[in-house]
Amino acid sequence: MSVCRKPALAARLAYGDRSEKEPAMTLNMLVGKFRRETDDIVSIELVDADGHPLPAFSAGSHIDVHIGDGLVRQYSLCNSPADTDRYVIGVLKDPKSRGGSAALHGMLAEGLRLRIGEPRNLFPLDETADRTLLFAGGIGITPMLAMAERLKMLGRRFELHYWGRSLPRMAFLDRIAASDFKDNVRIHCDDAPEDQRLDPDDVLPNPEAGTHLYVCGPQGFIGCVLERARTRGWLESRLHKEYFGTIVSDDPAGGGAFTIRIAHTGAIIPVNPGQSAVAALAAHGIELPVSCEQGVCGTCLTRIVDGIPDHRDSYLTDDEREANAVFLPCCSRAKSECLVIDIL
Amino acid sequence: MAFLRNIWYVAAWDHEVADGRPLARTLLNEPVVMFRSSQGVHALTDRCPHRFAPLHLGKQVGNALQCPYHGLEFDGSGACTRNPHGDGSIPKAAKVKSYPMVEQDSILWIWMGDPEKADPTLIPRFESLDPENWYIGKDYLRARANYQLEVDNIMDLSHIDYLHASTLGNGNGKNAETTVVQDGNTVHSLRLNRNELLSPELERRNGLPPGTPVDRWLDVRWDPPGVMELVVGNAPTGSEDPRKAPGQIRYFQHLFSPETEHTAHYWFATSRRKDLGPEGERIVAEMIVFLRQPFETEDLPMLEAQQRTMGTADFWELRPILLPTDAPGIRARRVLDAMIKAEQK
Repeated sequence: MSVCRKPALAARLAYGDRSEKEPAMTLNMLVGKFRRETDDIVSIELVDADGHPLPAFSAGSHIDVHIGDGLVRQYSLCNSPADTDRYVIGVLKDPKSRGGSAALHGMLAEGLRLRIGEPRNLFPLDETADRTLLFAGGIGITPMLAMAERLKMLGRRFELHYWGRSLPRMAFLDRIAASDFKDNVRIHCDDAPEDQRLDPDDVLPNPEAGTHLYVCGPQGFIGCVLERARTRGWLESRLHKEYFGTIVSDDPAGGGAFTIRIAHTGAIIPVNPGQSAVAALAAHGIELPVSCEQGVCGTCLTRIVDGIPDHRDSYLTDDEREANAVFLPCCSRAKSECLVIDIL
Repeated sequence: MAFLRNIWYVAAWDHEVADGRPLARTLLNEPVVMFRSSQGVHALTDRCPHRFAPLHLGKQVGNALQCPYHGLEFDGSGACTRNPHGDGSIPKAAKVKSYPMVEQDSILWIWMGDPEKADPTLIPRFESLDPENWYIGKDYLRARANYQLEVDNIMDLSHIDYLHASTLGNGNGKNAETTVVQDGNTVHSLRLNRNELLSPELERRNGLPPGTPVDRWLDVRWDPPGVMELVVGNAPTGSEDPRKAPGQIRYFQHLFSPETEHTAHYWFATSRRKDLGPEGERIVAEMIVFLRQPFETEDLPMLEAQQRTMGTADFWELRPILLPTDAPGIRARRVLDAMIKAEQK
């Protein structure tokens, strides 16, 4: 076990339970086996550098991986929570990524040393649910695998639906085929047989008490599933989501859904999780002038009639921020459920 | 383009105004002459009210400046104290405008606004320029560029890898993170670059073995209208918070005042605590000579070229395309704009 374990324990004893916000202690790990699951997804097994057992984790947990150059990225654990000797993560080399995953792909070798944070769980599984639906899109399969392992072990009723563009681009299919829970899994993709090419909407049931839905994958996928679920009357308390198997709270661009109302027309425009207000408005034919698109230049400055914005820009001064009379819809969101804005 | 009036501007380094040697400088389009008397430092309009001769060409007589043309003398309050002609009577109107002036932290600060409002406690402190406790290397340049372009230059140090590629840059700045923090009317530009290799020149000057990776931060504190302290530190790479890790910290000061709309005064300095030993005096003297080169031959030509390209147009009118690294400079501009707007109400 790494030297960090003892201070972690001491910190807990001294201060009680740590909240999720406090920095977790780090562990020194070695890359064990790794496997190219697809052209751009690799699964990586991490073992303790000194061969000690690892801190236990619950299904849905993620770890911080320190990639070097100060880069830290979050990856969901996808192995069984019953494992005590390894953590397994799936890493997508995303051309749109900010460099972390591509760097990890580039330096990957057996025996590579990596520093990671202790597992944290922001996507916990309600293990007492009567029925559980796991909806995974693409790389969003990773936390779902750990959840499926756990639910199978507990003997719970569940279904895992896994969407991808084509079979060769879907990771972990071999593992699923060889698993105890293979009968609970449905694969959906464009090159699958007709009856399996199903839209999330086709397999989403009407809400019933005791059924929980978990969604993980690209933002558009999550937004679409949640929108359908809400339309059908699912309660928020039974909807659970995580983006890309990474943690949105660390990503300034991420954020929950809210609604925009245009003051003088009364038009109501939903802003999906991860979608910018500017993009949501554009999708409804309302084009705001933008330039930097990251809250620096103030070009899209918009007046607020009602509601509380969640300012995420760097343009507004502190006084303007507190006044909440304007906001920058290219990057800022809402603290209230609805923002009423003044545009023509 | 309006200037903020009710604010302390830098007018000179303390050593630039020596006893018996008046110094003339234009600030906010106004000609000012500064001189030092037994009562302190003074700033007057640099124009005799008689025939409009520039007073700075005259000589200091006791605690007064004597006009070089006909010999009228003016004290630090601007009052005419001697008329050598006729019966020597002094016309009531024979006085020049006097600007409040304070000497603090090696700087002569001037108040260009309503003298009633000139509160010296409003002057931003530069403890790292306090000559009691610090060795200070100081220098001055004049730029044919608006002072806010100069402020932008310091608030966004991402230019180092390009403009200073062969001197201060190392090509490793692309991963640096820039954040902006506002505290009242003070804006901080906080820049952190992890796992950076400094240029060989900077490695040598910081006493680092060649090829030592460091986490380097370059934090700028801006106060209106354009005075900045840059604190540069480095620590061995990999610590949780490099700013708190044991490492090296260096202090640099960049002070700007408008001469006109399109020209600026630039005072720059570097300082070292005296308790680190007398070696510091030599280090700051050498460092300031070294720094002048990139500032004068790399920054200045760029700023002046920028100004020529912009002509007399307003910055915002030209609709700049802005990047994340611009956030601190833009915030500083907006704070200043808000202050100017409030003052003109």
